[in-house]
Amino acid sequence: MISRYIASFKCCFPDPENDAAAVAALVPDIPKRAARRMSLLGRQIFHVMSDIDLDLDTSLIYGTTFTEAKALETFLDSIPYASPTAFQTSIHPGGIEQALIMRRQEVAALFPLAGDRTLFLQMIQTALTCSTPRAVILGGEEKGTWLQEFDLAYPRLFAFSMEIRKEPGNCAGSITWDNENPLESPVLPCLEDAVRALHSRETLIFGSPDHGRFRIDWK
Amino acid sequence: MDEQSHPNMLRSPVHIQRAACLTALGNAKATADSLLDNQCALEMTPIYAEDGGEPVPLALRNEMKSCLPPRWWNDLLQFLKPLEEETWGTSRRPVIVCSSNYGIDGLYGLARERSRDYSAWATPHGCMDMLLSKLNWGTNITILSHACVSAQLGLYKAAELLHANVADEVLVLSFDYVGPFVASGFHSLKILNSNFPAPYEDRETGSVGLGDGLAYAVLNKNGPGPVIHAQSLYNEMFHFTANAPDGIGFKKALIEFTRLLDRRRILVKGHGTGTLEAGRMEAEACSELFADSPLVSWKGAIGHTLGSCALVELVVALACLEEGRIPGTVGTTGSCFSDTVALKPFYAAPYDFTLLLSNAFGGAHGAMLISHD
Repeated sequence: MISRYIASFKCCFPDPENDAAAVAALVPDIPKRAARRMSLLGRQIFHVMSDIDLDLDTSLIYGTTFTEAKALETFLDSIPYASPTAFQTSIHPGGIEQALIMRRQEVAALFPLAGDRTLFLQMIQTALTCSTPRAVILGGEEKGTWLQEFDLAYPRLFAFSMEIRKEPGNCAGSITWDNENPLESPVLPCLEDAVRALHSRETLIFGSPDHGRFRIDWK
Repeated sequence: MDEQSHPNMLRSPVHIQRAACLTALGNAKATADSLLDNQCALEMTPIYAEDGGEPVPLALRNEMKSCLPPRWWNDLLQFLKPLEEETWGTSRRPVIVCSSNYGIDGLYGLARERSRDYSAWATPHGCMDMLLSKLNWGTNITILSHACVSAQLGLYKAAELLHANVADEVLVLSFDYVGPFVASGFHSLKILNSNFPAPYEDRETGSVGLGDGLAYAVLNKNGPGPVIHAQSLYNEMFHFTANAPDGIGFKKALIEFTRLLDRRRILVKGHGTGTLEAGRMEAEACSELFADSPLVSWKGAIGHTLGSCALVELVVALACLEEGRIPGTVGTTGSCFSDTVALKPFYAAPYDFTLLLSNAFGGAHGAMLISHD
């Protein structure tokens, strides 16, 4: 059994109908020129990690299914005159890198994950096995345009961060992983559902026969 | 960036129980032999394949073209045959899959033809669903992607899983095949151009070559097999594609290894893609920190295998160590950024360890130290 303690949780769900303005309102301190180089996902990530101090003894676990959807669309649209800016922005894990570069924040272990059905679970598993005393789990999505028609972009925006520690301290909750007593049937919340449940401070139990049993409790 | 701070190494040794790789030059032994023979697999290929574009140096395992299933599919399945019936992806035998590309050229095909047929192949999870439909594996699979340090992350996380006692063995699998999306992207940055790469060479124009590469390694805590003694990860976060101009990031990633090694002799298999600034910084950092250690890069022969390069080149290095000879820096013939750059093959026997480096956009650095036992 592995246990960790939740030190903080923050999330955002900007209005998808007015995404640019909604995200801009989240991060009024980013200079306009810099903001133009950042994606909506990158700015959301900057927002949700703004209250967290980072250092080289903190592992970062970043997860997103569709990553920099708009930059991917722009890059594909630019071919055969491929856009270097769109290419740079489209490279996974662009969102977290934009946020960290904006902070001029060096980090050591950064684990960018991709995936779909098991993404949230794998992010938690990755965080719980980090050798560092602290880990920050972050992720989210931005809304795509034409890639949505092919189920290759997300229809909404959201982002979240959750800081976990090995020591209980003044914790808000806890996460446990029991990989000796797995769930008999898979319970695999998608990333947004998990974030909404955490936002509502719901107890989450998830896992599968291949992954064991995870439980998130709030104080 | 704080000049004094540096990341702690992960000193959680793991054994490489078995490993294999494929490059454009063949399997690990064939690649090692070809490198020792100074052969180059890079050939001039249009960036948009059948759609044309400027020819650039690519080292491919088969013809680059838009097709379904994608050109990497059968090659990957054939490579994974020895693992097909094993119980990977289960509770105590997790899989970590690493790549910078996955099915990104499915997106190129989709944009080109506006065909939904490409959708299932165009995302990392889509590719893994396809793979799991063919392999008898469980679902305990972590999908990592951090540009060209992806495979180093996989090895690092495997060591963490094993030392957290949540796994008996970990399979780290990495595959990257070059396609028009990536080739045109690197070309747009002007680092992939009509020149062949000459890693660490002090010349007018920098250039990289890209290559197909796939590899796996089965890791455990108790052996037998070569040992990864320590690993290091560091991210500068100075700029999307450029390193901090003083090169401090390269030193920060490696400084702890100098303390670990004391006076033991090492050789360094560098990242060395052929870009000028990063090549100079890497060569100078290695020369300063490991003054008597030869530095080599093999990307002038097999191309830069992108997210898979750390694992592909680890497996090639193990094959070279098995043969007792280390290839030089294929493709480089002129004066270099450092006197420690080895251009010709040399014997491995005088060296106790190999330090393997990989770097990525965003100033990401990875390093691992393997023993020669």
